[in-house]
Amino acid sequence: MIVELPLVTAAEIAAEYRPGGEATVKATLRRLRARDLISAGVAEYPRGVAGRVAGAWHVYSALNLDAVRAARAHDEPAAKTIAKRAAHIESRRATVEFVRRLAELGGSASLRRRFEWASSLDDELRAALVAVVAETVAERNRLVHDTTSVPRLALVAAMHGELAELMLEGAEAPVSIPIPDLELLDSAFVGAALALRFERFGRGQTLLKAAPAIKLDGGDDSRIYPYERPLPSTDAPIALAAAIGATPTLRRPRRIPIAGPR
Amino acid sequence: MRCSTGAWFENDVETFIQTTLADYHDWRRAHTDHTIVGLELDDLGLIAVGSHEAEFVRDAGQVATSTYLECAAVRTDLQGAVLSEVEPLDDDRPVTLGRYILEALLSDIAERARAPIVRAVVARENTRSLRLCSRIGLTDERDDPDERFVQRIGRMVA
Repeated sequence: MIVELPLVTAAEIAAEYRPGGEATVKATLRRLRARDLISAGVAEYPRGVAGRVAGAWHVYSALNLDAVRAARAHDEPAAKTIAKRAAHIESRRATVEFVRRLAELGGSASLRRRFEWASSLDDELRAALVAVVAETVAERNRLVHDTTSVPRLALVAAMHGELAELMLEGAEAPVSIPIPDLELLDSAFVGAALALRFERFGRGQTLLKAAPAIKLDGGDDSRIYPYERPLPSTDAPIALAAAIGATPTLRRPRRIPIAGPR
Repeated sequence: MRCSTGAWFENDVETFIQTTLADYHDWRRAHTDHTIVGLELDDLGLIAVGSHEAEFVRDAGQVATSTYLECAAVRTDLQGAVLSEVEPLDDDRPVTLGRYILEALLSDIAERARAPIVRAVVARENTRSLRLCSRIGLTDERDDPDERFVQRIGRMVA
């Protein structure tokens, strides 16, 4: 089972808001926070030797990526709604506890490594991770209706020269991405799990953003897809030729008036 | 609404209705004309619910908009209940609540500008629902990618 990371860093939010932007992460987040376009995040202060605070660890619900994308598209009401739900997830006791446990897992480890360690070391933490992901995905399904922006889960299948070949769940054709970009994500190895987000700007321009995801070994084999069933597509209609005959099998039903909006 | 008597496929549908259907509707309505039909009584509340949406099939070489019958369920304590005031639909069999919610769904589907093809996915172990599918005319069968399920397809009189 591959799951997206349900928590992201401030740098990831800033990069989603202004891809390739020059402004500092702090300034960008301050501006977004001032307009309630992102949530406050969860801060944890891990303690080092003799119980001294050894820095701060601040993470945010991954829904904030959807919020800032809406903000970038000048849809501030949608961004605020999503940010509110992100805050709701962050305020849950289970999430706070989860962040506390992750913060204990070493100061220099990347978010991906922390999650991998957490999920492999501790069944309880693994169950908590899956629960937070499921809630994040459910909220996104409810609030974000642009299917192209939903994270697509993928695995690095092979490395060819400068490019890594990714296999997307539910797709036959691979996607390639420069290896240096994966190195920045601590994901430049075969088998690394990724969550890809596409963003179409029209006229042949598509932005592809990759973020680390986690492959959970063992347990049940169910997947957490962004949506359980993809939207139907005219490009891939269901071939029923072998199953359906031309003779009607369903009689025309009597008309039953149904109240309510259509 | 509780609609499971304990079988895994009934649990799946109950969970889907209780936790996912409303969100699913919010998301898909704009794309697939996703529709929820519920039967509600003043004294008993919601007693049956079902949903359908448009999908695309290749029919006679052409891409057509058909219907996916997503779910249909009756409240646990009323499963098998007969609606004595409803005129029999075929074979003079009394109309059960399950049959009636399907009839309401088909009636709603018939009013849409879609090709008259209806597809449903049913658990192979769910013999009651498979019998009901056969009775209403979802008689053509094909394998589902998930071996636990089978697809039932029918063509409505135009």
